[in-house]
Amino acid sequence: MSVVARRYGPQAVILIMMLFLIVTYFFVMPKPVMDFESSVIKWGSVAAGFAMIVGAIDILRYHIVYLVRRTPGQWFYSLVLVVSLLITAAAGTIGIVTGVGTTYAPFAWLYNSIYVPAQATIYSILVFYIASASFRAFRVRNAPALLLLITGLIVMFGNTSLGYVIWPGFTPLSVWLNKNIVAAAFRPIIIGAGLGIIITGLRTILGRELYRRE
Amino acid sequence: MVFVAGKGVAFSLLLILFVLGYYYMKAAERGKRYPIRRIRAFEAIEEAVGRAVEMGRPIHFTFGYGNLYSSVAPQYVAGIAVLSYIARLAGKYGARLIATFGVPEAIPIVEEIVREGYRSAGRPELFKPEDNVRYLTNMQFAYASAVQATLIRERPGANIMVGPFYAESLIFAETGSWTGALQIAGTARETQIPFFVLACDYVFIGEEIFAAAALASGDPAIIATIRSQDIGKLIALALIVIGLILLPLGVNLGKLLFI
Repeated sequence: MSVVARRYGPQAVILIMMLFLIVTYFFVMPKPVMDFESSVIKWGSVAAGFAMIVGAIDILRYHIVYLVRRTPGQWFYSLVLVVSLLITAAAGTIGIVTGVGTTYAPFAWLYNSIYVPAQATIYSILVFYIASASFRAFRVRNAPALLLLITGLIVMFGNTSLGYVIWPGFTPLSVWLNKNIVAAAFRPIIIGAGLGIIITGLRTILGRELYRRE
Repeated sequence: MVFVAGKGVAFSLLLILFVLGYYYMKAAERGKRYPIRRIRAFEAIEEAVGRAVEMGRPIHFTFGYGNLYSSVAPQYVAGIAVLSYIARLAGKYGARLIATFGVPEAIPIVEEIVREGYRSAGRPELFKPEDNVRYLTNMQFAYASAVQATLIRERPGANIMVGPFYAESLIFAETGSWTGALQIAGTARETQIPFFVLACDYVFIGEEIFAAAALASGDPAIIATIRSQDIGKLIALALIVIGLILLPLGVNLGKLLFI
């Protein structure tokens, strides 16, 4: 492939696709054009599916290196990962080949009995991090910290049934704080982020994003 | 062509911002320079890299759970630009950089960015793809636990997180804090910003990640586009004030312009 095609080919695809999606978002288009737009969005999902294969190979690439080198403190975890990946891939492939799909019993067992509880466990760990972070945030060192503590307590009590039992006013006060104070603080951030996204879009359309420059 | 109902004004605003961005870019190419506010979190990146080198520890970078094909994709792109800057610094100081992420489509981009960073600093021999670029998984909490494990096992001297973060933000920030890493983080997802503010040393708040992406390029033309964001903010502010004035008169500007 020539340097020109390598440099400008992807840029041309991005430019055409971005302009096409902008036009179909803002303007009324005939049905065939909208159908094509749906297809373009589906292409993204298809490409993402193929990227999963690349991802699996990439994971194996560095974990096999750890295994071969017997990297201290790592190789055992790499072994668990490689074995789990291969078993899951094999179960999934058998499910597809036999026409059963994701309900193939061994695959479904791996997903429901190992993956789902593991995912839920990691999510649950978040509560301990929230506790330790809250401990740091709510230490009263000055007047603004005291204000933050009081506001935090109102919002927390407003979101729990215990808070309602202590004082029913916590719930409406918490809603008022979220609708007015919190929303007022978040809106400039959302507006700023939106503007940043637009300008990043412009830089991408013009091929001025850093990662594509030579 | 006919506008979809309620999108005419939004398109006009988009067009104005595009035209302004292009104008400032071209003006910068002609030599015009615009003052840019200092962003402490951006300035702290070089300090963080230096600290990691002095401690003999690696630098860890991650993007968050977002992806490259949804509304959070621009945040991911901003993260890639910041990573590019960090990779150049890692090459310059001879630091070991570990980039972890959960989007398989990004593997070639991240690999190329890190390789180019070391190469441009004249240290291509330091680039080891199996060590520097680690795609983990595209499942949120599996990714979160893998990043946690990386932080605990590798003990980075600097933990830098820029991109679209979800519930994993606090897991990363608290783990990084526990390992003693100097932490710099940024996201435009407003619900996650408070967690970063709590647990990190420096934070890019909202749009600052896009400004950081421009600053990371070092290209005056790209940096100049930040000015059009400021004009956009002035337009938004003007619309808010006009809306507030019109509301008591029974006119809802939001409904009038956008619905």
